[in-house]
Amino acid sequence: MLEASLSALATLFTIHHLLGLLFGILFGILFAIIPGLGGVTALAISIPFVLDMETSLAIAFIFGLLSIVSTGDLIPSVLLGVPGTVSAQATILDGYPMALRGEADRAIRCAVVASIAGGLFGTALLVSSVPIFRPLILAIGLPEFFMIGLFGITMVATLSTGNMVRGLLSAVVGVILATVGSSVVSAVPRWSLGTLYLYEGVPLIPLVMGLFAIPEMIQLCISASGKQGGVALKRESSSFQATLAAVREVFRHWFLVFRSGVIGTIVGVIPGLGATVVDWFAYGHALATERGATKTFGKGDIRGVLAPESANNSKSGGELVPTLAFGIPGSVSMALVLSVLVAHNVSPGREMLTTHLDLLMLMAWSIIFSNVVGGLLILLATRRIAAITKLPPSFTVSTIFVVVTVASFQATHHVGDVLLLAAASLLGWFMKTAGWSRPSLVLAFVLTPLIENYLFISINRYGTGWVARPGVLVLIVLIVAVLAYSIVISRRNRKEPSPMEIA
Amino acid sequence: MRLFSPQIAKHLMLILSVLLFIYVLLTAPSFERDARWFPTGAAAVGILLCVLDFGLQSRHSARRDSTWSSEPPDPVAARDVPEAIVRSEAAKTFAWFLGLVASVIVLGFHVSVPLFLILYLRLRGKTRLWVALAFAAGTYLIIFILLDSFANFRWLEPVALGWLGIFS
Repeated sequence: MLEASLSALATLFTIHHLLGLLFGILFGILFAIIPGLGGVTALAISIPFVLDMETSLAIAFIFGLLSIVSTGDLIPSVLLGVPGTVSAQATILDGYPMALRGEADRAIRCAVVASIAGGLFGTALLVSSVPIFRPLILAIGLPEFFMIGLFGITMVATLSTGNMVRGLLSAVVGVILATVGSSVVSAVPRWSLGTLYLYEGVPLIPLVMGLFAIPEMIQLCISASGKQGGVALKRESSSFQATLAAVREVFRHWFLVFRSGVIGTIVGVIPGLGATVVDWFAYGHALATERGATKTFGKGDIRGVLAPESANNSKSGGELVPTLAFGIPGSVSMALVLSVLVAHNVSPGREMLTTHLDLLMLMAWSIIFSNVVGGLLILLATRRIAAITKLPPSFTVSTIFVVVTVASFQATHHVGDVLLLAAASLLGWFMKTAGWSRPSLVLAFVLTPLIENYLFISINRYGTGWVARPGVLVLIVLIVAVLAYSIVISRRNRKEPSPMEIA
Repeated sequence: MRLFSPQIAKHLMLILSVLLFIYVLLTAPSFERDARWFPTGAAAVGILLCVLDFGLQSRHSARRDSTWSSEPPDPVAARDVPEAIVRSEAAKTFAWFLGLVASVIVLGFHVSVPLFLILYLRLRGKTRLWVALAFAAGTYLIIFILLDSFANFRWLEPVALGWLGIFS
């Protein structure tokens, strides 16, 4: 493992990999600070371009982008009271009040330092989990992989949403969409409508961009017609001194930052939780455990900023564990990462932990450097970066429409890509309006070819006996437990308000 | 524009899903055995879930339960915007996007992109003409000159040029 780590570091420290990482960081910061964009849109737009890159460069770019989004999204949360992404909601509760009383710079700097700490912690956990998961992966077979895939879909469909049935329905729609095209087991064309375009299935990129990017731009236009506020950043006497003060402040609360990092990593490991709840878990934990928090949280307490920001960065390392070890993406971002890896002939699971261990270490190093370098960039250029949040929505929306359309066409270079983008955007808007889970659909879509293949091979090799394997039985019990837990939680939530409702 | 209201969208999603699953159940038997049972099983599960969702929706409508969503509250949602404006803005923005898509198919990317940017910024964004022109020119430069030279993009053959007999 040490050899793989050093080899990955040597690969990253070449000019073009460092440039790729830097472009990823800058791209990620841009998409993080404009509310409504975020990592999924940035990643979906980048995918057509990274598919033609060499694998290591694609990894440096993607992980440079993804890792910094969780840091950059705090800027609009603090300055505008609007989260840059869904995982920066809790930061508003104390970050925005701090900004209103003139402490925006302190809030941002402390949050960035906490984010860097959280990101490093999550990566450390990712790397240290490799020796634990490797023997486990080598011991399980395809029936267990099939059940793990089903478990992942169930988790995402139920735990990430407030309505279990609709989450599962979205997942089933994703499964059906994924079966369009030639069958993975027999190459028989299914519902390809006699066209070559659909023969290889529904392309992922126009589908994801239509489901996520376009509805979010529509939402941005709607929000722009509402109230628009914002706090300006004052010029600080010395950004170095201010940063040093922020570091001291984060060290003063080191135990809170550490605990929040642990929470973020654990939440990231569980498929389906992740971005929507990680910051709330950490915030709630800090509220419950920190001295005097019940009196000061929500009024501009720096601890209310440190906890969620540390957690939402450490989540990234945690999310990679099920994605790379089992091929179960825990979020839409990870589903897109998985699709890029598969397109580069890098399969998760055994290969990732053996033959491609150097690529896994490259991901870890990219996350580390993205957190540190990206965090330093934000610290050095906070005022300039904050100015971008004031950009009129018409510029953002029109540019994204254009970029998304261009990027969609690069999927298969067929007019069908653009038509699919339009159809998916309509579907995405209806799903968003109707409260149907889009992440469930995408995750099921990405996983279906794998699990259909696993199921087919399992039945052919073991007959019906594969169901009686101990690993399979354990996973069946876990799936039932997740469904039961989701029912209990949804009944409880109807009686008590959720933290998001309190906000 | 009522098409974009949450109530219509909710029912529409359920109806479309039921139709999709029924279509799959009716057409999947025509595939060979190994290709049909996976989508058939998924569609059967989907039908059951639709029935369950319909039943639960009816029950919760009777109780006037508003917490029946499977996505968390939108972080960028405008809390102060009236419903009618939400639907109107959604319809207009989507119409602009469809206009861009149609224009790309008919006129191609190289004409549609700057045209769309100028029109959108002027008509929707109420931006000054010189700002819209400069922004469109800058975007054109970045996408069609800089990025294209690095990424070797391919572009759609516009239908209009086909009509004019420029592409054979």
